[in-house]
Amino acid sequence: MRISIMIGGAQGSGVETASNILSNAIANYGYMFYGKREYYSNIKGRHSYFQVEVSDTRVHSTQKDYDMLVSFDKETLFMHLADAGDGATIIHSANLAGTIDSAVSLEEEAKERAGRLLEGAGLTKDVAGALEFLKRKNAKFFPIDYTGIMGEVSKKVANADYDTLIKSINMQAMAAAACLLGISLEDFSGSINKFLSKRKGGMLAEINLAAAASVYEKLEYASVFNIKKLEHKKMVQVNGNTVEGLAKILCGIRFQSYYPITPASDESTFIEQNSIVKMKDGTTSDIVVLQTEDEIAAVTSAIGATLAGVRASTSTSGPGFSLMVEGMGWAGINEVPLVVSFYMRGGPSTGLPTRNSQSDLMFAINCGHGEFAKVVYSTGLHEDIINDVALVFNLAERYQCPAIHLVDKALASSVSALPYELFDVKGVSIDRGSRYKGDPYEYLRFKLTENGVSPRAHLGEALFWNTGDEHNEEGHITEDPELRIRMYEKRMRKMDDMLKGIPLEAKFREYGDRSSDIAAITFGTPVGTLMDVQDMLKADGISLHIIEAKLMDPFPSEDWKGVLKGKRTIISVEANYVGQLAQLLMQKTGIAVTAQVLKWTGRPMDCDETCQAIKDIVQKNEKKVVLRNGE
Amino acid sequence: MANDAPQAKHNYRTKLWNDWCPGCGDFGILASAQMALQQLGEDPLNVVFVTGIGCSGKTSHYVNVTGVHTLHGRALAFATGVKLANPKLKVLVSAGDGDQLGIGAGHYVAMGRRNIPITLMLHNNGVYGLTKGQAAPTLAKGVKTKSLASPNINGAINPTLLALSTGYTFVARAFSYDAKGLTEIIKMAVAHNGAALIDVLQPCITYNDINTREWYQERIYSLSAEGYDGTVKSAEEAESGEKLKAALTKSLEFGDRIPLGVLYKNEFVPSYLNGMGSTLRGYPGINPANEPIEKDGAPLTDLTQILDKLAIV
Repeated sequence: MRISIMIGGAQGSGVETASNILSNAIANYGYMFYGKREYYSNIKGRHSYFQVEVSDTRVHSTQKDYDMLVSFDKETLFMHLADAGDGATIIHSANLAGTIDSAVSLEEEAKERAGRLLEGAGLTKDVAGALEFLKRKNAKFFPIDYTGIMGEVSKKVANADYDTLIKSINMQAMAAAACLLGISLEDFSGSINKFLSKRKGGMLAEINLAAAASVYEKLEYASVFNIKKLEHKKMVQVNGNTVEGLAKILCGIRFQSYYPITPASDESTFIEQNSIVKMKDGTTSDIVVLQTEDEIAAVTSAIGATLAGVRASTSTSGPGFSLMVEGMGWAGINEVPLVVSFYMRGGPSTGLPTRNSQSDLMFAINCGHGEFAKVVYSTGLHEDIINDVALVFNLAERYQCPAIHLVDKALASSVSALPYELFDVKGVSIDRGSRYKGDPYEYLRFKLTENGVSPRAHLGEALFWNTGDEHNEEGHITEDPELRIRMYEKRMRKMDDMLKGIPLEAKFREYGDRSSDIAAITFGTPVGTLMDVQDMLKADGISLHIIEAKLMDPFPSEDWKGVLKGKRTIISVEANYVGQLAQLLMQKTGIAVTAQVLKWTGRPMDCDETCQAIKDIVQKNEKKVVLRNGE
Repeated sequence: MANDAPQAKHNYRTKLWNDWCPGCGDFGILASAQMALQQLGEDPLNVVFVTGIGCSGKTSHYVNVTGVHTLHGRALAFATGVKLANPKLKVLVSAGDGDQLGIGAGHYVAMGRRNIPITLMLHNNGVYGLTKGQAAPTLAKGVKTKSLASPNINGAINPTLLALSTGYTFVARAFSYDAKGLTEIIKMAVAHNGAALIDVLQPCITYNDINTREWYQERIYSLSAEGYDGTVKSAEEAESGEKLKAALTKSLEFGDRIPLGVLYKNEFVPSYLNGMGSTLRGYPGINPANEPIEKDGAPLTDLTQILDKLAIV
């Protein structure tokens, strides 16, 4: 069972809170969901939307055609006209009118697309035409008189203020969606109370409860989808930023620096909100969260904190990481176990600040001038973040090198409702690496050892030097050619050890049919899409072996050669233009992919478009399919 | 200080051969810093010396305490992380004028804004020495030092004026050849509970043939000898801003006469550590660098409370 709900509205109008209340009510019925959040780089007024896939088993992606549209404004209607599934349920304002041109917040291109669609169907380019278009697709309409209900509520609730009343329109739409899904008024009201009962002295809840009740009454408690309450375990609702923050707190960070940037800063905000950490013995500890003057200070202050002995990290996206690379080089030559969370968004430059991308893989791997050992590790699923972050910290400290946790915007802002136990991770371990315990005045920070790892002392524990110059064992500057060779090799050979020490399932992860001769290789969030796709492909008799690249640097070339042996078709699936994972694979193993699925619109890969792409490759021998779904 | 304390017998000089030009102003700053540390009696392990890039950047290698030689302009940002993660460490920073006021100007301003207890010694010689004498941000307009093709067309940054206006709570000026005076100021700065700037005037004997030792010696005078007292004595006085106004005026004096000494010192402004502590539970009393995070490899953090907040009920 899978129901796709499209919720759209003007950014900053309260849609987010209202949709959280709806999704909370859905999860309370025992359903999981995956939702993607799409928004402009804008505070108020532009069209944003949240597409939620409700299901009884875990799904990891959205699909093009929605089953229910939840809308307040005409912008939403025009914007998502093309993606209405057959027989979709349409919740809209009863008072909707106007032409496409009057939907002023839409970009011209979006207006033209909607216009062409209606024109092609011989319809007028306005709300009436749009509704007729949907009618021909067998849509079921549920017009709601939002302002009328608002008026009724104002009479029921004493001293209701206008701002709150206006925002109740969001709740009316969500109530309609809840009702049509089959959620009882009582349960939906419970969800409202959970979020709103403590705000504005209860007034907020009172207004919204009244609004919801009115909507249920008007709809005569009718249901379209009739979802039933399932037996279920305790659930949590998370997004990628939240889990990344959660993971860092579990891993014991005591310092997080950041400079505000989309889509990374929500992670730092989350850590700051939870900076007084509860410990298992009942005591508390503190995390210093520092908002810096720029990303250079973010990375260098985090390095300073790491030298002082804490587990420290910073978090950014492409433009910020561009500034951070000088710090990465310094951490490299000084063997500092700094962890950076790198959220990829659309580039170059400011690019698409709030949209998804995977175009920074090569940048992460090749960051900074010179050569130095580092870890680049990728995650694509919310449920993998905690274990992956734990591994990244452990690798950084065990091998004393900077580490990049590479994630993408789609992971950051998509929302999952999943069983609580998935995040209550028991198996996480903390390895702080080799530590120096000798005479503090006889310490050699960069002692030449067999595996290249020199026991670490924190600032204050022993006397030593750091420098960005090439250095001797004490940490003083050297330009001696012989010593240069030894120190260089010491730093680089740690990577060989690391490759040997990491279990195969942490280098890449496999899903689907391992015996299939069709392999789809990917990294980041498209892995979730492919997991959904491989189920869909079974209907066409195609079985897919999915390989999610996780350890990007150092690259486990031999393991890749092994896993790809005998594959007739190798398809790389990536959200970039050039196919960076395919290039990396070629560079490191000499293996060429046979086809590519690429997307650079900034929107996540939907399962239906990706499924079609794989079919076109397997059945029609297409070599390159470019995906375009999503407004 | 007991004689068996490590600092009593600790030699604050490293054994390295010093590769600065003979007669360089940096020597005076190095010797003063070493003397100040000796006299302060801090545990040598408890001191971290952070530097930027350029001739001044090498200072950390010559001081026998833990030294962190960082990136061009970034010394203060590194130092910020060190101090916040382990508030018990005494953190000293050496940075050049080009280093700190050119490429690192943003961090200079941010340090004042935060008022973190860190001592910044600004090696101010008006030129980028190590790259052969280009004009640095403190070089006066119209001046043509040896390596310049034509007179400097950029205006000069006034480091003390900038520090005062951005919130440093200890602002002083010293002369690198006055080791005694500089030593005393470094000691006061290290003891100060807030951001401390020491603008150290120093000749670059190789590339700055204008602002020479003699040039400075003809102009410098002691503020305290003329009865100037920049120290804020009470909360009321801090509130009134009178001392700050006097310091701002004094900081503009840089010509025929150049004042040396403490321009401003105000301990009534809470440091950033206290600000950070107000949002936390035990900080800065508890030291993040010493907080246990695991036992036998198992995390000591209890996520239950946070997870419960994310739970669907």
